[in-house]
Amino acid sequence: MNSSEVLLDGDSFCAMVVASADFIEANAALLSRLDAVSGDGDHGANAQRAMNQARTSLAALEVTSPASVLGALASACAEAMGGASGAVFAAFFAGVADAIGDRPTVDAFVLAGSLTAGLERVQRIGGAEPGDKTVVDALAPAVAAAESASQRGTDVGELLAAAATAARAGAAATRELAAKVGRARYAESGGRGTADAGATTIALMFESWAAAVDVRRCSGLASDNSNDPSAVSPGSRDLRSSGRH
Amino acid sequence: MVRTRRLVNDPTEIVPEMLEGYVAANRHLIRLDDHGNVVRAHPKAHGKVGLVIGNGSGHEPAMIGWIGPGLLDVNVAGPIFTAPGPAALTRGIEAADRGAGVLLCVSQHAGDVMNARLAFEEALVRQLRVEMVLLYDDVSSAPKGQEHKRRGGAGLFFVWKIVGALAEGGGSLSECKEMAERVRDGVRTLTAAFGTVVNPASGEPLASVDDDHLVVGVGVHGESGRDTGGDLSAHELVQHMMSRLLDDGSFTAGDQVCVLLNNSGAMTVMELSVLYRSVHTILAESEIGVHRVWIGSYATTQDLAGFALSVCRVDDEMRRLYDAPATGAAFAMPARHDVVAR
Repeated sequence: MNSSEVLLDGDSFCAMVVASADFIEANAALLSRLDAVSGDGDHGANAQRAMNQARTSLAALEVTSPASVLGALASACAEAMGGASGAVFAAFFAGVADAIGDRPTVDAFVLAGSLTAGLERVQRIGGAEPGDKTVVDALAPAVAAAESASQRGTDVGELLAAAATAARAGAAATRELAAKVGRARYAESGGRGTADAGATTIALMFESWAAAVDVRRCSGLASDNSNDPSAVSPGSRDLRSSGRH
Repeated sequence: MVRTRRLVNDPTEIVPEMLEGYVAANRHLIRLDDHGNVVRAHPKAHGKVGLVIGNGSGHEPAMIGWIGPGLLDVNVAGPIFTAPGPAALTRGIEAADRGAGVLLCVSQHAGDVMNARLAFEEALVRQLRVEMVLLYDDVSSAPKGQEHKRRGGAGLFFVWKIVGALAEGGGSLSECKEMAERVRDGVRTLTAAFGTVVNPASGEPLASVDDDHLVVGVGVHGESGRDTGGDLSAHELVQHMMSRLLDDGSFTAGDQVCVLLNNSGAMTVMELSVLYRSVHTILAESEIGVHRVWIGSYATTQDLAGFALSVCRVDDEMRRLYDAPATGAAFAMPARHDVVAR
């Protein structure tokens, strides 16, 4: 499988973020309607504003590396999304970026570990557990699917596709849940019957990432493990230490 | 009937225009710094602890009216009903730093807590001396025994006043944090409201609530609470609320308390005075001493027809700090206060 392994570089992450912006923009009205059931109905507009700012920030980046792109995305979420979701998305992307560190490219193994680090940061900041009807209900299964894909030895494209499927299933399952944290828990029936808006955004994000990587892979733009000297071997499991020299 | 129209210009510019107007009217006390945070016009002396609070806008005069001598130092105002982001909070912490550390005060709501945690971590990375305190008081948001899960409400009024005086008087960072926790642990708040209000930016109602029904436990963003069902008189409502508050906070005969009747927006002073009459009677019957009472609009939810009733247990030190002079645009404690009904 190594010969077919795709590596994600800074440009790949740019394409992924731009795809996310497109997906979220196309679904902004839906996200706001979901949010209106138990929140103040502005999640779609806020997410779209953050993605637009991320797009602008990417153009101004001096160095396009996986971490710099995700860092810009984190800042855009923190500043332009606002509220609880802004903090959660910022924590996730910043956690992933920090775990990737200064690697010029990311393989499936590093991606899975970095996504796990992002989820850990989200849970540390927000304290939400699976079942609380939050982004964690999409994020946790997506990360678990990514880890499992990585252990099976799949490439990043398949890993992201598996994560997207799991995120979508997790987001859809929030329909059956009543909110336990955040403002939604005060709404009538805790928003039961409607999917969580933040979890739906996570699903859209993984779907857009999978689509973007698939397009790049099929068009021959993605770098290939066999001719990339910077490829990270699966031996370097400790992401924190190996990412910061 | 929910009033849906607001006298504004561009709905997306409500918050900056509101800040500009409020600061211009109170320029002897506050100004906007380069980052859009509300700071004191005359910073507190070097060597004193700075107090910062971030909050969603739409609750005015909270917290812009609480920046000034004897109160807080910096308010980071977010979008309507939305917590400000971590970078804005970090800049607020920097603006409040007078060399003795900064206490980041957080009214416990999901967005406020998460953004504050990110800002707190960033402030530590920048080697700022900062502590964070999570504040909550709303009895209706989690059962007794799970106080740490409750949300912040109008009762944090007492934290601002008492900790503001402590910081102004030279209290250390750890003393200020400890006092904030002590006041928080002695405050209990319940709200009641008719109907809901609209988000002034979107024009959308914040909850689907029947206007005619009085609901106890309405959140500061208009989150729905428990319908009381029938028609209660003012006295019956206060009896119900006081009974829950006194039981939840284990208030007993001999305690000294301060009381707040906060107007959520559209209550009349007449109604609030009628309500307080019952509060006063119940406290007297319970042999609980009333140190001071404040009736007014401190933290609003637009023009919500409701109020928050807060009772705060105060010891000698808290009473002295509560009585210390303070001047904010929305709240002032005069320097002379020797006429106190006991």
